[in-house]
Amino acid sequence: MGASLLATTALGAALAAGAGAPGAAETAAAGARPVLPMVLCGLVLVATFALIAFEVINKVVAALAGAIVTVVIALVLGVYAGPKPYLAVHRFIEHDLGVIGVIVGTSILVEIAGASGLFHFIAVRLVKLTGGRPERLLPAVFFATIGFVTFLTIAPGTLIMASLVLVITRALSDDPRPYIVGLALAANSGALMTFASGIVTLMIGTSAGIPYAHFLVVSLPLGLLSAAVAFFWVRLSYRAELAPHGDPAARAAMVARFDEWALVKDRRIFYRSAIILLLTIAGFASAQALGVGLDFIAMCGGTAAILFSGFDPEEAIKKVKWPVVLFFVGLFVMIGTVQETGLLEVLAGALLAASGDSVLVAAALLISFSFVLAGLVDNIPTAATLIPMVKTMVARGLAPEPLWWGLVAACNLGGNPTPVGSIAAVIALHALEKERGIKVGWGEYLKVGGTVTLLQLVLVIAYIFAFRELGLFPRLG
Amino acid sequence: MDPSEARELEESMRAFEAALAPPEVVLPEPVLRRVVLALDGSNQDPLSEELAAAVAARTGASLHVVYAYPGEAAEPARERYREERAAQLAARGLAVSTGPRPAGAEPFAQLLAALEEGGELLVACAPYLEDFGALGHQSLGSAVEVLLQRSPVPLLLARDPERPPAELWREFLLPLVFAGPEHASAAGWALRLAPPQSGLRLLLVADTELLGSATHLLGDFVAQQALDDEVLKQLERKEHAGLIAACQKACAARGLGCRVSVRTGELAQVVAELGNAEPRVLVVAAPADPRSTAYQQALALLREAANPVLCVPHRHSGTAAS
Repeated sequence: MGASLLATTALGAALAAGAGAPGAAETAAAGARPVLPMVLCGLVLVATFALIAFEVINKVVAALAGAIVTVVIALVLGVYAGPKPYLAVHRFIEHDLGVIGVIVGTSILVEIAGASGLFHFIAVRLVKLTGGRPERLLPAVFFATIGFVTFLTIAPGTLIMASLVLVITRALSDDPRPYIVGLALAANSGALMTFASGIVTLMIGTSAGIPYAHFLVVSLPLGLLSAAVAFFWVRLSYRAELAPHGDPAARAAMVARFDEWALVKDRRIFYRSAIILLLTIAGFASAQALGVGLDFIAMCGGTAAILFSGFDPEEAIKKVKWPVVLFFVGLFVMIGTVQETGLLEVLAGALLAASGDSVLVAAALLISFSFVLAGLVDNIPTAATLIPMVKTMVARGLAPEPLWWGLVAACNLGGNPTPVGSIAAVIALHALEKERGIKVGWGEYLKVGGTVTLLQLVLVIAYIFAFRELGLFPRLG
Repeated sequence: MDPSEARELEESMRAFEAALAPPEVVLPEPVLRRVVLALDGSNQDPLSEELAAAVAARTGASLHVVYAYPGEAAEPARERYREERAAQLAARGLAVSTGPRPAGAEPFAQLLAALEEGGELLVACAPYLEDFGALGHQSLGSAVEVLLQRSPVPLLLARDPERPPAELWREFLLPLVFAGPEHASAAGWALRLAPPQSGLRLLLVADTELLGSATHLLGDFVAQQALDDEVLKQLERKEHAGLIAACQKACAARGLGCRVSVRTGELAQVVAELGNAEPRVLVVAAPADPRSTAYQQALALLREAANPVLCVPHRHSGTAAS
């Protein structure tokens, strides 16, 4: 309901702006379009987001249903141009085929690497290094989560770390809540570290044409800083639970009893997948120089993993995140149609008007709005909706860097305030409740995650401002 | 959270739980000084010879060639055959010995007598004194069945003679439903015979036949849906973890490959499908009690095997433990 109200309000404000408020000039082109398709498709978009936000129906079904309804509206009201209007739908999918290619390739590669036990092995090694000391265990959990999410993407990285945390805290008789909440927050920071760390990062990076290396300069330090903010707040919030207890020697002995070799399924896949993973990352970094897309590199990595790992190809292909691919198809068609109506152009114009054509103000507004929307709905639809808007703003002369990097950060970190705001929080809290019977309620999570989000919002805006003012952003073509 | 993620989370949890203080498993390091090669004049002899020669060349053990056959009196043609085969093996640079036919009227008794004179491994064919095609998967032959129960040492049994000998050593496949000390013995023997570049594969089978029996036995006491394949896969997870860790470490130390697979189905069928699909050595850990279900399962695995089988009776795990 909140999302619906928020989006409806934003829609209303935007339409008002488009109708005659300051900034109407910028939206003249869009203003010339019929209003009815805009309103109808906009309402479908808001309704779909509400269905996703409140989990009324499966989000894949919601996105596909939303796509079908908007396409019907567009066909009936003549929104699509050209002699064969329906072909516009294919163009929408084709436009984002690169993202789908990366998802398919990386999910095969990640599945094979995960199945070898490589990351479980590393996780246990890392935990053993802490000697079971709480003051070391929390940083280790943060560090490992960020690392795993960076290489494995958010869901597999969170799954491994949540399960490890639950086992190790039970063995040490520790309260798991600080670690579980901490890793959920750390995972969202990890997702913005590199181009391929998260789906949202991938979507924005592909749409904006951001080279892989730029992420190492801009978003990787921001990811680390945002994780540091989360770490210190979690440590402060749970200082009583994290206080040392028990005999340190007994704790160290308990942790030392972990045998990481029991987690290794296949040493050959273990080493080979690690090499292929590293080569794929190197491929991502040099894709632009090689003149190929990231989807090509990802598909090469996935195929190499199947070919050289000895992993059953049928099993590997089954593990592709097909629901995510379908979700994307639905989302791209729906957003593409909404964009075709001119609505997103109107919204972008409204945002420009509100910012007085200042890129920093526009970035601050965009970041704040993205934080809120990503927290309420889901960061993927948020990014899918805002990408065309940012493109419009850039086309109208605003500097692209603050807007794109602001969007990358906000969409990833925006899911932090609530227990349902990000897939990391959903997985970690579900695991905690199911395995240990401990429920972290909205109040407790909001107190920690909400505060972290506010701090991170300030951090992101300050970071973007500082990079802009100091000329640190690598220039985007 | 979608169901596949929930399942992955569950599996990850169980894996970490199993890895937390798994039972310590020590793989024996068997001593191998002499290999007894039993010829029978069948079409499997060339394969038996190749297997024994490869083991001897790899381990530095000597070969002792025998030919056991029914009857009290020695048959000159068979004695000559044995001498010729032994000479050919010796010509390959191996330390080969042979001697008069051991005492005993029955072939199994002669082979047991030969082992009493020395030997840590018996290489023979199954069925013994019959061509493989004659009995195929229906029987191992009476001599082998008795040897399985009475042999003081492990048996390396040649099966389908059409299998290419050079490729058989690529992998040792050790299936198990419940991990026990016999599997540690079997893994230790497999690693003893494994050449460089080869590997050990642990095949954990969630046995649906077992599930069916358990469900039938428990009846109304347990809801049917509570016993499914996923539950079965978790059984003995901790014990498996100890064996897996020991095998991974031992293989890593020797530069050998080691992988773990999980399959669901009837044990003999799963092992036959996977084990016979490619050239490899099947490793069967035979429990001590021939009346046990596990022993009968081991026999079923042997009958279905087309590849050679290393059968390690639990009562004989070697002489030195690491």
